[in-house]
Amino acid sequence: MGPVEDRRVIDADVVIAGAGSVGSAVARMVSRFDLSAVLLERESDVCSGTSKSNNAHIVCGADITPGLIETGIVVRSNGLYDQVTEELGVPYKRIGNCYIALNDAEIKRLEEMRKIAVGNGVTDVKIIGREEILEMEPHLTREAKAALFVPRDGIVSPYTLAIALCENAARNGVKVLPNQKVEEISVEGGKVRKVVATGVVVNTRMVINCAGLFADEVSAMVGWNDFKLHPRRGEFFILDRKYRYLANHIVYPLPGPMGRGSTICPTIDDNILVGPTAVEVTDKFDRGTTAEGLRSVISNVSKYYPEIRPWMAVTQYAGLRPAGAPDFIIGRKPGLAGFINAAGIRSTGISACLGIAERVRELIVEELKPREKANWEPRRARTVRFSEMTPEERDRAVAADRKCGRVVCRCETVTEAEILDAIRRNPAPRDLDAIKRRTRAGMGRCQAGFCRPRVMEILARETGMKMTDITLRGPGSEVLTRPTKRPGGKK
Amino acid sequence: MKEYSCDVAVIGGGAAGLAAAAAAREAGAERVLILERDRLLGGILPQCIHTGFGLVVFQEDLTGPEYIHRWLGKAASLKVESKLNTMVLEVGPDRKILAASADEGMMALKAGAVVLAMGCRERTRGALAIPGTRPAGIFTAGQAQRFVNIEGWMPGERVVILGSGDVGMIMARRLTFEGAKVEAVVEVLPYVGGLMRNKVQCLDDFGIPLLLSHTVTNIRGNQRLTGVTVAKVDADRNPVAGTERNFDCDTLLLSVGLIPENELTERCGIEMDKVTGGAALDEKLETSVPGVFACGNVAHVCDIVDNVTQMGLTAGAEAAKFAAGKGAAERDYVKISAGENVRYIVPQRVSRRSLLERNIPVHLRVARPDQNVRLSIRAGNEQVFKAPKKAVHPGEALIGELSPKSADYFRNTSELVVDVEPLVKRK
Repeated sequence: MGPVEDRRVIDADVVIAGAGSVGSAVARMVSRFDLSAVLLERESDVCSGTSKSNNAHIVCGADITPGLIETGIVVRSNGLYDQVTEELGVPYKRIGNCYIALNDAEIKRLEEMRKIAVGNGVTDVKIIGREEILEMEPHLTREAKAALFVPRDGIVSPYTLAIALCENAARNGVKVLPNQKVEEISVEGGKVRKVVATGVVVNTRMVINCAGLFADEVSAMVGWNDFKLHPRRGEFFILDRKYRYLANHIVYPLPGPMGRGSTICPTIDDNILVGPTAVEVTDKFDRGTTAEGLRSVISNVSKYYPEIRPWMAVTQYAGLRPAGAPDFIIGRKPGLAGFINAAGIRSTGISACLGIAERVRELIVEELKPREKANWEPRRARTVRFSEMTPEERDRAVAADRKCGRVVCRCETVTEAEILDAIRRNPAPRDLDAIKRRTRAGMGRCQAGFCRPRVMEILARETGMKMTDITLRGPGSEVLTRPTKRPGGKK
Repeated sequence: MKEYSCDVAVIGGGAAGLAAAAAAREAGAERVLILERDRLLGGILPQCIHTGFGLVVFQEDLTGPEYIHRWLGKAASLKVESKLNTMVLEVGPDRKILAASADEGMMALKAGAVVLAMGCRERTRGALAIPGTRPAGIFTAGQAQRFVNIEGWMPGERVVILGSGDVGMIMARRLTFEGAKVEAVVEVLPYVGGLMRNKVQCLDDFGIPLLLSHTVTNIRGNQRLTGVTVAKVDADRNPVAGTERNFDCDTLLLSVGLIPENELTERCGIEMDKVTGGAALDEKLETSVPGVFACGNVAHVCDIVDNVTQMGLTAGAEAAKFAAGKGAAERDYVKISAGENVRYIVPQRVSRRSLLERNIPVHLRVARPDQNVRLSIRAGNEQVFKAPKKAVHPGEALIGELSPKSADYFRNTSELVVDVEPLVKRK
């Protein structure tokens, strides 16, 4: 990007740095008030970092260390989940979570875990015996002796939730700007004045730092630098939908010193997630999987689900979750007006995001004393997927618009109408991964083998983009390099 | 919802489906309807602009578009009907088909007989669990072929190809023609995966290195691919530490196998063969569900299109018979089993009546290459048939016939086992 003087200058009462789950939830919360707001995201789409690459398990707070700020916020967040997902049209299911004990020592630990859960306010947990757990999970190892069952734990698609939060925030006036990395925050006279990002300068009264893995760097821009974050890598397999039968609930081993351990977790879209690993790394950009990591996922999980095989996968991925902070860091810095940290958000970020937004709301109200909008719209119109329609609904849809019957992604049965709907929303997806996260086109067993050329063609047609400018996930990830040779050397 | 009925419904309008539809009409089926999810009939052949098609069926060396053009003409002249942009969602065991189409909305189709001809898809990186990042620049070979030959775009400039399947080798040559640099073709097995003629004509003739017993062990680049690591593998296909070398490249093509596309078949409750990935078939290419037939790459991945066509012809003719009520229900089957060094054999069972009456074509794929072998068929401890073979290779299926000359053996056995063994016992 060019010199700062050349960047577009805009004014906003509030700048939210980072459009992961936390930033998206905060953006929607801010949109309730008569505040102008800008949501800045460094990647080419919202929800492109830690928030998209995790196991999508929404914890109700049963297993979190008592006494942490995190614990109270997760519990508070969980109480909001049903209403918010309903308002936003985001599928969410409380399918329940089981911690499996394989031996007598582990059976003893279940009772300690039960007490912690009850202490955290999760009172409906129960210890169940071998027969019951094997009935609930017929493909679980016969070695299972007992389990702690947490019925209120659930699953959501984390990117569907974050995208819905952003769309609803945008509907209520928040400007969502992708490809905008926060580079500098100016403070004058003890007050935040200005944010400089990749392509914009925002004159502002307040910055809310929701920068996830990079929250320590954003915080340090205002001199708040007493914490350091590093990535903890987690590697996952996503299994083909045909293996959905393997598990009915989220299933974990008992937690160890590095966290919850490798799990098997059904997704809201009926895949099975297997993982993650937990390895401390240093590079915040290294999102690659490793041979050792992938091996260890399978060997860990096959202790619990002996039928799991690596070839059942449609893909693998690695996520980097922020580690290094002992607890959530949510609050203001004494002597500095206009800066709120929502930092140190660890593996419970998706679970906690709605509660974090509520806590941030209290801080904003205290400092800016904004008025609530009378016409705030809490609801978001959801796209009905062809794959979820009854035959009669499909008939009506195709009668109204032929594109509703044109299947583009065969594996996930995604129609052209669904892709067009995604492209026309705000924030608008402009790369293939962004369209994939909104529609599932390319998420199936052929991994976009058939539908990629078609999706590119639709995106080019709708936006006027050149085929060679279409990217997988933003600048530098162009899919095609040039036209082939043409007869007579014509272009 | 629109409702239709027809004598024979063919799911998929590629080489298998067109042959089946044509054969069904020729065998007397009145109304034959192809349901095709793409915008055009022809399946994968329009993008296969190289030659090598039709050597068996037409005794001519044709390109893919030329080959399929002939079948499109034949289907049209026989008044085969088709519905394009039509995605079949369900095939019921009662031969009721539910489909969605951009032109007509939902449709229900009652068919006298159904021919499954959905073809196959390419195996992806996910099924192999190749470690590394997930940048732009990774394509399956067939997808790259579509971009280059149909859409007119280059997928990249410096290319490594993993897997020596036919499409991968053909794309190595094609991308070279278009000015890209193919650094290497990397094959995990100690032998080439596709046809020998493709190795010679696509790699050797262009000086493209083929690294056997090697694989890709890492993929680099966060946005666009910047390189891959390639390492030698041991006999168990595990990478050997210390043998890694880096290739700087912006493109990785995967030609690592084809998978019959049988989601509809499985949902219909049809018995599957785990090895072929297709339905278990009898000599009429009928599945375990009466009146539902399968042919071509959806049944097992064929090496050449001519074999696909021949399966289509059989399945179409038999489907027409079934629809006309002439498909005798068989109960007495002889199982055909894969023995020593045989990976699979199609059909998986044959009715005893047919075995005693006529020659039955079989497709057989060996598990590993070998030389100076004997192909033999056993019924219990009795040797029914034997024939020497100079060389066998997993990339080239053996096609032969079971002959009623051996009828004496067929009368009482419940199983025939096929072996491919060395002529001389080795230590």
